[in-house]
Amino acid sequence: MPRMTFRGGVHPPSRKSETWNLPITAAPLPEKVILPLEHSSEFHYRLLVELGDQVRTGQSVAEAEKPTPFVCHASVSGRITSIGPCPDVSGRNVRSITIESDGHDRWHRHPSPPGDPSILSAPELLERIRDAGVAGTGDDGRPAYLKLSRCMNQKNRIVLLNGMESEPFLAGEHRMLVESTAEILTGLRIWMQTLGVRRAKIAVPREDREAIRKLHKTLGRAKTISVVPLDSKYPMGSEFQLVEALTGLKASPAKLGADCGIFTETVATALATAEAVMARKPFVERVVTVAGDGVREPRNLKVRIGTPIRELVACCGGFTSDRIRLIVGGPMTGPSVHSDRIPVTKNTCGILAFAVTGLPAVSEKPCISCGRCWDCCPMRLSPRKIEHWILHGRSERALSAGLDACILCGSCGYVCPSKRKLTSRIAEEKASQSAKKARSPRQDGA
Amino acid sequence: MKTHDVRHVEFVADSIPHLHDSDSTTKMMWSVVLSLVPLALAACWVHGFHAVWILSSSIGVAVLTERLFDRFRGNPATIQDGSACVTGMLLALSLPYRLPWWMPALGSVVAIGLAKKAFGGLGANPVNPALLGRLFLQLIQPSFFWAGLDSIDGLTAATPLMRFRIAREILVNTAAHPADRITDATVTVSELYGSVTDGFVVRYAACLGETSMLLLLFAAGFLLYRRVIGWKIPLAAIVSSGLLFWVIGGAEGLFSGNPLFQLSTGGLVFAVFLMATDPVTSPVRAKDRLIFGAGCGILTVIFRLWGPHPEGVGYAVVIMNLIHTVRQRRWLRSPGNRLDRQERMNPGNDEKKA
Repeated sequence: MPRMTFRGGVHPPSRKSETWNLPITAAPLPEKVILPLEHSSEFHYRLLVELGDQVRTGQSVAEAEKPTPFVCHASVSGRITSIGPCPDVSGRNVRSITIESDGHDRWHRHPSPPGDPSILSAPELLERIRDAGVAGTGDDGRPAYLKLSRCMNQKNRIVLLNGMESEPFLAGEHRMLVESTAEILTGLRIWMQTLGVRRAKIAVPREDREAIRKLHKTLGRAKTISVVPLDSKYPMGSEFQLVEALTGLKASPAKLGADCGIFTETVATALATAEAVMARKPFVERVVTVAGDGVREPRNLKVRIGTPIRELVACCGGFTSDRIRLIVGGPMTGPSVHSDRIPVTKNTCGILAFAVTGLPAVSEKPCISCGRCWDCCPMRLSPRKIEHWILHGRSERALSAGLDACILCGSCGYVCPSKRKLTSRIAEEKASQSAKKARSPRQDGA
Repeated sequence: MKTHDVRHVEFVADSIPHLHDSDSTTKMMWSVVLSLVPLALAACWVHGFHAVWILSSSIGVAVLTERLFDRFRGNPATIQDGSACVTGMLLALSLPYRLPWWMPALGSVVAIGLAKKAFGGLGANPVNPALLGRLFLQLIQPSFFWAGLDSIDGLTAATPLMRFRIAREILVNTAAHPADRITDATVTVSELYGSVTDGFVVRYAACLGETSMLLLLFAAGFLLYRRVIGWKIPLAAIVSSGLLFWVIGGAEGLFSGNPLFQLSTGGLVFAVFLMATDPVTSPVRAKDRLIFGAGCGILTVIFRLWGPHPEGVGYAVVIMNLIHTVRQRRWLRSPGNRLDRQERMNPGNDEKKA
């Protein structure tokens, strides 16, 4: 019997009231879009266009063959003005395509009409989802069809729709659930059709009465999809914790839910799936919450992928201060960035800006081993133990203390009374470990 | 309303997560101090100038020692984090009200200097500093701590624990004592058992921290509510010691003990709620906490019944502290992969490599 919750977790203030009731509005067409070609370092793209080419919205501009086929689409129509390094969220310069918009937003039409999707077979559905470039919108932005095909190989399959959005400040998924209920359910039914599953569950926060009502109304008497209201404990929106709460299975990065036949994706992915299959529309726009006291008018915006943050902030009235902490994503997991030229990617769920006043008040104190980080760790790790080994430069021991299992949810860093930078140290160590692995792929088994 | 020009905005980066719980180590320390203020005021009201002097000199010297250590080591000042104040306060409340004037200050120097700063300050102490300070004073001037042996200027009576201990020794070995002493002992025991609830609100007790059980429980409740201390260690300690006192702690054979009498005296409640729960020197995991607490309780019973002194909870907690520290150091050394000999001999090499 699932417990409807998970061990640990924290209760940060939700702070969603600013944007909770703001309808999604379409942002004006950006002047230019930047499409990074290395969103997760393992993908190597081959360019399909050249500098100076005219492209249409939705046209493929690059495709990856290895490790899996994937496509990158132009998100505006216009001219390719540069192909070269641009900063991404991590602060590194990665190869990117810059498209200058012509302002007309001329769409590239798919040669074959969508037809009736309900007669399509699973491989055909997968192909449509893949060709539209639908990616996971909550986590690391991996292609959604990969997860689907992983689940297809399993015997017992379960489909879960993740509407938890447990990070503070973000309200985009709540708005999507309220405004595009039918489309989201279509996306969910497409997943069910692909996996040959008859039943599915939708997890929504218990407080989100509006979305629950809408979902019940749209579902009508259909009994195959059930709405499960859950406590909005952080990080309930994380895939692993949602799987644990709804199925009792303790998933981890080493044992993904997909490997046990459990397919979990977010509301935004469901919406993109519906558009990809029903209208053959590529994944070129998504909903982003722009919030925080650093912007004048917080909004829920529908923006083109690749829009620089600066254009989003400009359409929200600009910054309120000349010293800003700019965060890409939620406040618990999203990194803060040094520049507002960074583009929105497929997994950017929010842009948060906070006015910085005075010097940072948070200073680290010694660990008093109060055990709160261990209490709240949803992956049952001891963050202070991992941090201890990282600080002593013993990576192998940090690994044996569970570094790989960490999902970087930020609970330990949130709860630490000594304000130790537990999460960011672990994140840095994980990044350097994966960089090491990428350099010497043969040696990591040693 | 002027919107700042995008070009002039400076972006300040920070580490994840960007939200932090409002609770902090400093707040936790000051809430310990705050919770003990009513008890300290009650002690001052009951004992007058003696208590005021003990509290002020103990806290003052503790803070001063901390500051001097930071000064001479060139570290940033750490007195504002409140931990020195907590140590001074706990030390003062664990002392009897009649002491030579210099003793609280010496105890504070030992507590802060030897038990805490010598090991690297907050978070690195192997035993509870206040407890070590108290045990040090108890070793150099034992007569003040169990005044029954040598009452000072005739005013101080023997502590209840001391009286119970003497009476119990007589009753356990009745053959060796004359009949009138046995009768006296029986009367003493029943008198002590009967007086358990007398001093619940205010008591003219030997130690400052025992002045009021009510205020002590209030402080413990506040700290539990604030999540500064956990409930597992005190509960395990009280249940284990209470059961053992009931079974083997009585004067008339098995199951004749009065656990309430034992729990209400000798600073047991004070020590298990405020000393044993010190996060630095106690374990984190639920099972370890229960074992730690039970260990404190069992050792207290052993020390009280068979040890050389009538009270024993201080030694019990310090021993459990040390056991925990050793276990802690073990995980620091070997979480599944032991240091090889080379590394143990040259610990510096590994750090240079990294």
